[in-house]
Amino acid sequence: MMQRVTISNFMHPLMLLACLLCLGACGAKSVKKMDASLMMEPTEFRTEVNHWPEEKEHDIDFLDIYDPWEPMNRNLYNFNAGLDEYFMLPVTTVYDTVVPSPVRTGVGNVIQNANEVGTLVNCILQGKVEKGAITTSRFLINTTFGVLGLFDWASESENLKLQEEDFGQTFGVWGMGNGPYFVMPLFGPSNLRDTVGFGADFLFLLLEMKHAYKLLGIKNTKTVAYTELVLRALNRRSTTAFRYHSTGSPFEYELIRFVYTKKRELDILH
Amino acid sequence: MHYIYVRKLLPSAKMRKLLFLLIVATLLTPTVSPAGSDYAYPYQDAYKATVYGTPPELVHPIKDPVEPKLRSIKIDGRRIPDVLSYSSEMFYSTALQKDAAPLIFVIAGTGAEHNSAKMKFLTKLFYQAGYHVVALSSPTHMNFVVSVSEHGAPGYVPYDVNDLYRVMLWIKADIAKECEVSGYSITGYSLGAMHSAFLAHRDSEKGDFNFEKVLMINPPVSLIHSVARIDSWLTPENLGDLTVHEEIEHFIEMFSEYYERADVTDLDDNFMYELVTHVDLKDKDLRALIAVDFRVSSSSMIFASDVMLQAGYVVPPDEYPLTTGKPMLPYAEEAFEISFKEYLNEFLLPYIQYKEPGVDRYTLMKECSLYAIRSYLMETEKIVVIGNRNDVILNEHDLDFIDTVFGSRAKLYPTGGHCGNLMYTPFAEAMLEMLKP
Repeated sequence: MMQRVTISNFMHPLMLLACLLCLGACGAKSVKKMDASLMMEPTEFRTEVNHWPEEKEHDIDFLDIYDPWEPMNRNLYNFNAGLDEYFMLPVTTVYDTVVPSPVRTGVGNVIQNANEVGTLVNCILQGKVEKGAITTSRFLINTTFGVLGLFDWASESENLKLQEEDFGQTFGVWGMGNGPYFVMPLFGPSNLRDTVGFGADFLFLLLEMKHAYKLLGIKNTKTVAYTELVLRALNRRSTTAFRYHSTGSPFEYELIRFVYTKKRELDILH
Repeated sequence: MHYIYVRKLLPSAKMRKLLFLLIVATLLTPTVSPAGSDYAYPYQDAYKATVYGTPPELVHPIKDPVEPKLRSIKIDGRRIPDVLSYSSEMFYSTALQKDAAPLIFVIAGTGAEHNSAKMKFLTKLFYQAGYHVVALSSPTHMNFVVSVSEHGAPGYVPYDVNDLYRVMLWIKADIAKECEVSGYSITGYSLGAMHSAFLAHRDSEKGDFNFEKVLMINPPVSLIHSVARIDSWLTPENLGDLTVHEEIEHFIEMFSEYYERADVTDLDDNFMYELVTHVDLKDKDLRALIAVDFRVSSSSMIFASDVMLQAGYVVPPDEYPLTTGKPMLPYAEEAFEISFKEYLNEFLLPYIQYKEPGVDRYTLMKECSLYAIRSYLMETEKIVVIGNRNDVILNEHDLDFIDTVFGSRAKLYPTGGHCGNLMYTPFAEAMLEMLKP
């Protein structure tokens, strides 16, 4: 008897996940067509004039970003795109359909509020007084009046807009260079410095979660922690508009690499 | 005491204001035509209009907009290189009514996808007006080239129209299984408008759709002329001493400065609008920006086409097969350098001659212009045009052509540039009005 309960308890979430995946998988409704004229058989046609790349100084310097691991990065980019299409997006679609929008907003707000602590620490590490003050005010307002961050009242004020600082930016402010560009498995565009920063952000988050659970008197910390991490992932994907291969460009990898690097450069300056 | 005095005064002040307004209104009514009076598109400058579009607060509101469904068509057994395998299915979107309704096909402009901002707007607009909507990417969009194009070399209108027509027939058959369609119409903006006209012409010979209405939104008259015009904005004639790369770096600098200043946390559509409107862009910069945007999409198209055909244009033959880990920046740079004129002379024309010996440059140019179907357009009442007199892709001759051929079937606004006023309420309402049988 005991044994059976355990198995069904274990099976239940898995079954649920499987059902959710099936539900979410109905992305693009695809139809196959046969047409012999559309096989794209190789032709003998070759252009007489060509524009082959030559070994030379790059013309578009700003797009040229230090990326010694490019072949691996490109494959990681494709891997992430596949993972996104076949796992993250279907699961997120289910999350968006099953969980009502106000609840999702609440979840997003609570996570955002918890993240203010990390931002504040990084503001202090970078000596950014004004941003630190804004973040502190936001955290105090939203934790009290916003019921542990469920509501983001602070953003109603023009002067209390969300600030974002992380360890990657802190390392940048301290003078650490980008290092090689790196596509993190699962998490996407980064560079060596920001990957280390990402690790620091994560460790800090775990520390923060541990203290928060203690403060809130939560006993079953392991289950709650896993739930929180899953919710964080769902919330992040659900609120990120980016879709892989949606730029309509075969040079998407290059574009994203440039935009990421430029954005981080500006964020560090700011 | 004072309070009461004010309260007593208020109604009469209001009355006076009202009376004044009434008088003004009566005086103005006979002189201002109803079509003109509500048209107050904010940007007089054609380039500003083209780049800025419609300010968010003036965008035609659509109540409870439909969320279009993503669909795809995959050609069984088609040879698609690994590096482009993510485009092996042709994506398009639909918004279908529950009950019987007319269906409208919407064709995107040069390099645009079925779900670009303009396409989404049109899909929602037509759906709300009661149509089943099918939104298709431009045959010049990489996804279309890779997944369904017969010849793999986009830009030659007759080939592109063949591809569109074939795809539309498939979609017609598939959708007929799901809902009741009471009739067909077709529309498109920019190059998509030109495609619509040619598709209607093709249909007039084949009779598969019997289009009720054909709405051309901001069409070019000659594709090659319009593109040459855009390309000229990246020459010293427009840029002066600056090279294209210096101009682009200038843009990036300006945009970066704005990003710093504005304390942006979200890179959404509104941010893009805020960005371009708050950065001080001169007409010369706006022209360059339009041209750079065009080059970015044409370089995607050229590269995709070259890889599909392995024509040795940008990618040297000995570099095949391209692996998924291969750095592409060198190709991107080369493809970006290629003007449309070069593509036409060095790639497209030779390829068409390879397929159909005897086609010369003149034929190609004519086949890619409305001149090819001039008499059909002239005598076909169901074809209507909406656009702007200051469209930056049209010259005097093009405007003459539109006036002569379409006459009262063309509605041209004085301002709006190229598709800048597409989402502006009077323009949106006029589109719906013109589609009515």
